[in-house]
Amino acid sequence: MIARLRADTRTLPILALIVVAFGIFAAGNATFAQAGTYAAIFSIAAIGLSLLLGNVNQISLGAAGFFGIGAYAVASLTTWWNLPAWLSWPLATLIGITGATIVGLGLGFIALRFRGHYLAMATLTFGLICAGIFHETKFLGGAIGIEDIPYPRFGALTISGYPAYWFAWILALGIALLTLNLLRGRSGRAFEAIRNDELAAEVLGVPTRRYKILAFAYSGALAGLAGAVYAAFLGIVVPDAVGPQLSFSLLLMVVLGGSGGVSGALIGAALLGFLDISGHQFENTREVVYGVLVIAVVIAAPNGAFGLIRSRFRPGHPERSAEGRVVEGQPRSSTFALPLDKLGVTSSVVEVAHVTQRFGGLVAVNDVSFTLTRGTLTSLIGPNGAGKTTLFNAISGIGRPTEGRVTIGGIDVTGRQPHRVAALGVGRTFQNARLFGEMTVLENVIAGAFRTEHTSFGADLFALPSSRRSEREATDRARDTLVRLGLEPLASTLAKDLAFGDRRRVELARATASNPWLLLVDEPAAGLNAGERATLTADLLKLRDAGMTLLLIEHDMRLVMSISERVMVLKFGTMIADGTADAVRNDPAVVAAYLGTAG
Amino acid sequence: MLLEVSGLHAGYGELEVLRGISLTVEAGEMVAVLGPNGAGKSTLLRTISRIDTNVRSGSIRFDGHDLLRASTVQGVGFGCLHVPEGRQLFTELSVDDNIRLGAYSVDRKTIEADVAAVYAQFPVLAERKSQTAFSLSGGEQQMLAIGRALMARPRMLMLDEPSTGLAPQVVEVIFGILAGLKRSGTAVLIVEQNAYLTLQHADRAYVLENGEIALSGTASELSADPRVRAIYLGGSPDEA
Repeated sequence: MIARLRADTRTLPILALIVVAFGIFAAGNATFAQAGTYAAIFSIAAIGLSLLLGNVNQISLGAAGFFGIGAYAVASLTTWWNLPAWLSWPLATLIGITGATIVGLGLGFIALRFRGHYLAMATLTFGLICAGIFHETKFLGGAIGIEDIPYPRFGALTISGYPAYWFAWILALGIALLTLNLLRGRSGRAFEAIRNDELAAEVLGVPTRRYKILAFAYSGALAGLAGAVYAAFLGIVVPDAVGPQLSFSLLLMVVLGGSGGVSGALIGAALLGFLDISGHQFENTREVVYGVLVIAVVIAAPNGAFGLIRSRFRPGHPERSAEGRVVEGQPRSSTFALPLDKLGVTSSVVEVAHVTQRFGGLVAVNDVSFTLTRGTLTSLIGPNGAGKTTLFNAISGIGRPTEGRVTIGGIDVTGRQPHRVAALGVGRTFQNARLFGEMTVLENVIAGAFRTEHTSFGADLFALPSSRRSEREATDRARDTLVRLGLEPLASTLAKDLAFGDRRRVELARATASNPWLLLVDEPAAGLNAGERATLTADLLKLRDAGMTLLLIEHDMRLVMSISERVMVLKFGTMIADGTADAVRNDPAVVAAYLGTAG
Repeated sequence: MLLEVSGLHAGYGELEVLRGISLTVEAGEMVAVLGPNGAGKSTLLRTISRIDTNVRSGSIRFDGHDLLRASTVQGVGFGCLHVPEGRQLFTELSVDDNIRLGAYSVDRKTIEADVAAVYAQFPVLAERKSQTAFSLSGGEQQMLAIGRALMARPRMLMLDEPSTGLAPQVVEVIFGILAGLKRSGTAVLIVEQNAYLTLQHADRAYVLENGEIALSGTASELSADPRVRAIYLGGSPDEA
């Protein structure tokens, strides 16, 4: 993730130079200057779409709707009211952006219900509805649109023609810088985590729904701004210009340039802008050319033009960093500071009371009750299908239990969203080690410290000191965690390149980076060899001795029986035994559950 | 020797599940593979059927054929049939369609006779011929899964946890069917969680632990061996 952002940040000055050079070159050529201006305007909307598609993995075919909101706000307000010139356009633009942001929040909220091609359909419909409204609304000029929109004027400077080129590009590059700030901060990491694995992000405390809505709103705001600039610079808005065709063009820019981050969007907007001027002679076949182009890009360069450039800069695997490099920085503390005492809880960490979980007619968990004491290691065992992971899900908020109650540190968390349960100090790992593959080990663990960071979307956007401080602290905490578990040599390896055993250990590190006081570990030993099992055992005991409460699902009985103070056995959802390892092992009901009975 | 697996190392992606498995099955023999969850039992059957697993080393020979060089479909043609965990029926299709779908690898001319033979063996399926597979009880579904596999004229039937979710009497019926197959010369390789019951019916068994064969022997030897229990529940065998 950082590698990609670094390439993005390094490319931006080069793109700025090209913009300046082209601006000087186009000084005497109105066609070129205008094409350059449009490229800047569309790139603003494309940046928002690129973030949505490439950083949060949400497709939108309705970007033109927001663009239209901004454009029509400026067109209608500046032709209607009589405000001083310096105030008129900026105020109308602000209103347009606000409107687009609010509608973006709404669309984001609706989009939570859809995925993949359904989301594409939903956003396409949104765009069509907007186009219909613009087309049919009388005071917006109906099919004719709005003409004679005044050019923005600041004192003697009227922003149209050649000056518009510079103004538009300053705006576009400014937006690019702000967006990079956002992506570099905690918000960007939340986006990346969502893109890689939503469920894993949620159990680390990332409010995934909120961030998805924010991404839609941000993308809407940028499209709205682009529309506001477009209306003022062109002087005319017609409904067809902000229809689905524009949504596809914007998407094409992002795919062509490479989605994610800002450089791809800027390059894509510029490329398409010039295809448009050079393509005037084959106006009627433009769609065909674009269609072929998209297919070619998807096959030949799935990361777009910027992806190609990035791979030129760094031959081989561009995102793979030197393996085994030890990160700089001294670990300062290797002790846990658990927030447990602050909550006034001294003994009972989690209380599961009469929890039942039904799926249709199947009772996966049947009236299970237990209490875990602080600083203990308990194992939950049982044959396949006994309901162990279902019980984990009920505790961590992934599934709401049909009946019963779960209390963490005295607080009722039954049915709370996973990120809210995580915020109370509950960490968990998954059977299949759900790491964020495209992030490095260090970035994964920083994401694990998400809920200990104190910064906001706005602070990230403007790279305020609070955002930078929070980043530094989270990074330090993540490094400490890596040191604690002896993983610091892997810090800069991408998670998807890790060996299997290391994946499990990194997941454990990620789950403990925020110092949870309850850690749910789901089958950590599955697939590990003897040496890795020994390391795992030592890690688990280290965490317990540091004061964490561990609940372990595990099938490796030697491991379970050697480290658990207490073993609970589930069979078909019902707790059939609960006691010390020895007592459980010799319990006839447990023997029958595992080995069956003869005859 | 019908099936001969030797030195098999296999798994999923980078994950190695089977760490050097060697076992044999003779024609007309019922061999059980036992072991706790995650030991690699299902992975073994999937590897023999070449479904989803990566083989690092080792060999699998079936009736003179090198199965590692054959596709899943070719394996079925050799007579190596897999009745997977959870039965994997075509639940929206009728019982009759499900049975006929089992006959893709054999000569068309014999299909009608084979269908009749399956119905003769499972009269309850004949009664429910036109019902969807979804509407059958758990035991009937397991019979249908076995009946469908029989359509391919297997020389060896591999079953993955056929007793899951079935009442004890129904499990007895299933084992009765398997005993019948064995008598007619079809080998059975069965993976089961219910170790003690399976050992009553099998000729021999292998006990897997962490992808390795921890114990093997005749069913009667293993029934009396306290180490089986230690493998399932941890601890040393002398305590048990």
